[in-house]
Amino acid sequence: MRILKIFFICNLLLLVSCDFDITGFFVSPSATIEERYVESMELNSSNPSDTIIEVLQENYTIYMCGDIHVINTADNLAQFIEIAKADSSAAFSIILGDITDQKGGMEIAYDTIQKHTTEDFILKTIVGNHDLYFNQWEVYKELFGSGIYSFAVQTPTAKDLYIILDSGSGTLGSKQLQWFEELLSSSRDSYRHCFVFSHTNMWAENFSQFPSGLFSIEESAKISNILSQYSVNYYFNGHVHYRSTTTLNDVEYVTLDEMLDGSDRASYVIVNVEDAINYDFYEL
Amino acid sequence: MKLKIYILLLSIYTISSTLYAQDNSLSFDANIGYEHTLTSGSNIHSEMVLDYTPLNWIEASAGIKISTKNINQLMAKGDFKWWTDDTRFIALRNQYLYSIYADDNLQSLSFGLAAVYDQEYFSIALGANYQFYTSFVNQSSSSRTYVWEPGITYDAKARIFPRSHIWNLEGEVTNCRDFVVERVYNPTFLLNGHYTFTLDDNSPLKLYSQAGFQPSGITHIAVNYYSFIFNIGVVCVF
Repeated sequence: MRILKIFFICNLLLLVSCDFDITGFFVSPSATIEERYVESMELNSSNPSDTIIEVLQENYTIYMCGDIHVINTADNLAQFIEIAKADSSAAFSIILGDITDQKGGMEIAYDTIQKHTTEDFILKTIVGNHDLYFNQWEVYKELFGSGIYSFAVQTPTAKDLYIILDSGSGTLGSKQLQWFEELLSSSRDSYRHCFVFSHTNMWAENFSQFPSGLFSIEESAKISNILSQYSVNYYFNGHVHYRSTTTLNDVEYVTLDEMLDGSDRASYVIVNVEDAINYDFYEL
Repeated sequence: MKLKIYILLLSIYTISSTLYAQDNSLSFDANIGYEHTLTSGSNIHSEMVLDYTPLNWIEASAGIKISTKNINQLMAKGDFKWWTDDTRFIALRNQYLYSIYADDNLQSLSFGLAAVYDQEYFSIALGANYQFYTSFVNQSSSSRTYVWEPGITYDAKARIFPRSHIWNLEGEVTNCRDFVVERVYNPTFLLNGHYTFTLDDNSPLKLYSQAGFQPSGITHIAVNYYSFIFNIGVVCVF
């Protein structure tokens, strides 16, 4: 009986908590994935210029972090940006989703980015499930733009393809999946390397992922086959807050640690890209 | 070591199933259904399951599912039951599911153990499983070609009438059905209904239908529709 009472009180606290939009258990807290796809494509067509990043040297780096969950402060994000800014070989940086938990957090993250970056610093973002709470997709697209897009990094002799997928709802949806496959089918051969970034992990080889949702098995089968069929080199994601790596059919699946303020395992990843690709985790 | 113990238990189960296959109650379950998923669109499928109950404390079933989305499956399931009275039992369930994702070059084998409690108005099963995934055409030059995933399975049902009632409606939340062993994060919500006829030779014939909905993202509170399923079928008891 006592356990039931504690369970009931915990659930009640969860229901009234500001951290989570409990409506998301029952209905989508933001636009559905199919609606977000349409809106993202409209945003892409109205901003077609931001698709090629040119670097002057053959090798370049990418800085990435995930799950910063900004509520009141974004100190780790600021520190991450400063580290990336100091690297002259950095082509771009990226946050792999879950920018915030609550209303107002996305604006704090955005202000931090504006304050610490200059015009030539490129920071890409991805939609995470927490970014959809409290209908924050509306804020996300206003501040950061599209949630589904691709771009290229052009070196003097090679070109690499980067694809950003919206998996904030635990599925790519039918339209995005078709777009993704058609993009790879039509253009993969024109690029040296190909990287896919998204928020949700594809595999769960241990319970560190619990209870964060994954794709259905059918969807994991579909996406992983597309990744290996088109020789995608890496699939990077956040979502579960614990680093892990899985390799399947020459595709490496890398999950990042969290980087939220106050975390004792906050870390980020630097990827070195040339003919070979290497990456490493760095504690913040 | 754990794997060896598991194989030993499995062997004991298989041998004992054969040894005790004397007295019998055999049923055949066939259904046809429609399924829509965001990944593969609209599909038609058919399932066939043979269920054998040689003694009241043991039940074994095996079946096949074929689908127009080219995901074809074989299943085997066995329950060791301990009847606590005439209407209630506790069971240890073994469940195996082999799936071929023909269009996506993937095959998976799921094997699991679950504890089951079943009584007139509800039943619940809770267990653990492992899923092994590998491609059936190896595209890899040198890297690893398989993934292991541990999982938790659950299946909870509640009925409006006792189990043996001539007709019934049942609500179900599950990630583990005969031909579905989904990740713990992806439940399916089902509404099951059946009507039982008794034929001239006293053989019961059960007609049933099933409608289900699977959301995605439910456990990370950003739910989205993922799939819908509808089955209609018949169970013949011999």
